[in-house]
Amino acid sequence: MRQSMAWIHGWLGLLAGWILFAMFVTGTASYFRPEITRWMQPEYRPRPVANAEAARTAVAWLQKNAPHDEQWTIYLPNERTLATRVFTRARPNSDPKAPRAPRRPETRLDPATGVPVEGRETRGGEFFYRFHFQLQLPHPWGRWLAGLCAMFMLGAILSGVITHKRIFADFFTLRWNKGQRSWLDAHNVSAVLALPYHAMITYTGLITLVVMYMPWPILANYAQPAAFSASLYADTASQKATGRPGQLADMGRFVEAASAEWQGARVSRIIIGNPDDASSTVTLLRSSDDRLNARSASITYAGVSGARLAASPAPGPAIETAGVMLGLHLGWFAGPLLRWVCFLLGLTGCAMVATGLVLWAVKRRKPGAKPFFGLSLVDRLNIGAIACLPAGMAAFLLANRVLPPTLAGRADLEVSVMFWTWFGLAGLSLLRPARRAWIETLALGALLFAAIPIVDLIAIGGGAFDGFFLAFDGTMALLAAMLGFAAWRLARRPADAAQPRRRARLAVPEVREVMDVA
Amino acid sequence: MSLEVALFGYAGFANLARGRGRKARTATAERSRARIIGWLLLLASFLAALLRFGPYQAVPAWLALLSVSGVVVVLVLSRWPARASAPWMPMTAVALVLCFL
Repeated sequence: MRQSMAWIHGWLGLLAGWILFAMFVTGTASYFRPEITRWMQPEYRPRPVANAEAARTAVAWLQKNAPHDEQWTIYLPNERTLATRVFTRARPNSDPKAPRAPRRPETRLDPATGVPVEGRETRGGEFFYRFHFQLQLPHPWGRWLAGLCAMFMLGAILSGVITHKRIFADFFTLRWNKGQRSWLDAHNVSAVLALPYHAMITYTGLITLVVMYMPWPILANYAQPAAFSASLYADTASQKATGRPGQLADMGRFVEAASAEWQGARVSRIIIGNPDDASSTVTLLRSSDDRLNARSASITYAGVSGARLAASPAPGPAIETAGVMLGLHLGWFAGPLLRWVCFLLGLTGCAMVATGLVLWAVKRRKPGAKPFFGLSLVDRLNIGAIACLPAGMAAFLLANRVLPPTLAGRADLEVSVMFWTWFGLAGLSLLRPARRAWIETLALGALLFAAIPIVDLIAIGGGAFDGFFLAFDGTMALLAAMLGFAAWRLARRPADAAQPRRRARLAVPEVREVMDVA
Repeated sequence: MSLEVALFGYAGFANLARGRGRKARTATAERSRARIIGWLLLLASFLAALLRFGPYQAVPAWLALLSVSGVVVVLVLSRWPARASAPWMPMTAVALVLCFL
């Protein structure tokens, strides 16, 4: 049983490991999605205003720029996201069989003035967040691949728990400088100590997109999928326009009324359906910052008359559970300390995947023998994922400061810089022996992260001494230190497996035995 | 701050690790005592989480903070095995003070 589980654990982990590592790293960074965006637009320092005022200015901008769209979505600012984020959806094609129009790209507005944010064009933290589950692949392939990898991960977690028979005995065991044993210890410690987090984040990640992976229950019970969300969340997306023009009432009134009904809780999002029509609706969603359930209550008003039309029904156990799972995955409920804790646990997850991948290779490396093709392939993919991806992420942040702020298309260029650095470095590392490639790519990643605070200081001058920017740059320096430490440890280690021919000449039985253990 | 949960967690894990020490190095009675103190401190960390985060968020917050303190204990233990459990009493004292702030 244990042997079969070990086999399953090894192969599930290996096959999905490189993508899982990328998902873990970018997902971990996404805990600070608003902060990354804020850092990437250093010139934008808005004056905070009340939510009602931010809603008014956003609606004024939308009425000027997308008056005839079918739906507007407004994300109101909070203490972490300083700008108002708006999305609109165009009216559908008159052909009833045509697919629903996609959501237009996000526009960030100044909450006080309602004009688009005057800052450098960037995708900010949103890029890491989207990459985490879309993997920069066209819809829906990225989400499917991410889901498949998450299923592999869940299988690997379950089989890993069954395989690991000394789970409590080895709870505190981490031995350094013992070769394969050290990698196994590191993998066990990072997996077992944060096991509740790993299991939670993997399972809730799957549940987040479960309607996409398993749409059949909804299709079997509802004629239109939109009717499903309408019945559960009081969603008005499917409401038809009458064709008669109508003027939206003051948006601030809606915000204040909803907030009062929720005993002062903040409104986080406003969805306006058919905004230029007499039948327009305004749905306000409660902020979930103070609760685990990320699917919060909503109230819908008639857009023109301001009459209260409906409120979301009290959630049943299934909807409450789904909302809590989503909330646990997104971590919106977490205050500053818990957010940092989640970030550290995310890093522990990265360490678990990385040590598992390295362990697979280390276990199969025979002292004195030339590595077989599969082993070399795994080694190179490990370098490409574990050592080169962080370098790519650092390059993404550096590009934000180095590229001219007014350059056209700079948001896409920043993303390109990340991928060119990541894959370019992985390609170049093929030219070096594996051990040197590990050391050099890790060291380069450390240098790139260490360069971020320096380049930040040069690019934005005195602004970098603001508390927020100092904390961000300090974190980059810590990440540089971590990667540098890894490179230094590798460089210090005797070149055992990297020089098989020299090892072969030392064919003294005692030495071979020692090396086998190490 | 909710640091007291992590401090209790560290102190608890440090004691549990001491309770698992090799027989030759640590007396059986001392190991049993360390284990009992360890479990009690973990319970204290849960109560602190309950106090700080409320019944709805206490469990995820406690597990998250406990996991991080566990990782820190193991990292310190792997480098300085003798010194890892030394600060458990000052940590418990600080955690107790933080509970009342």
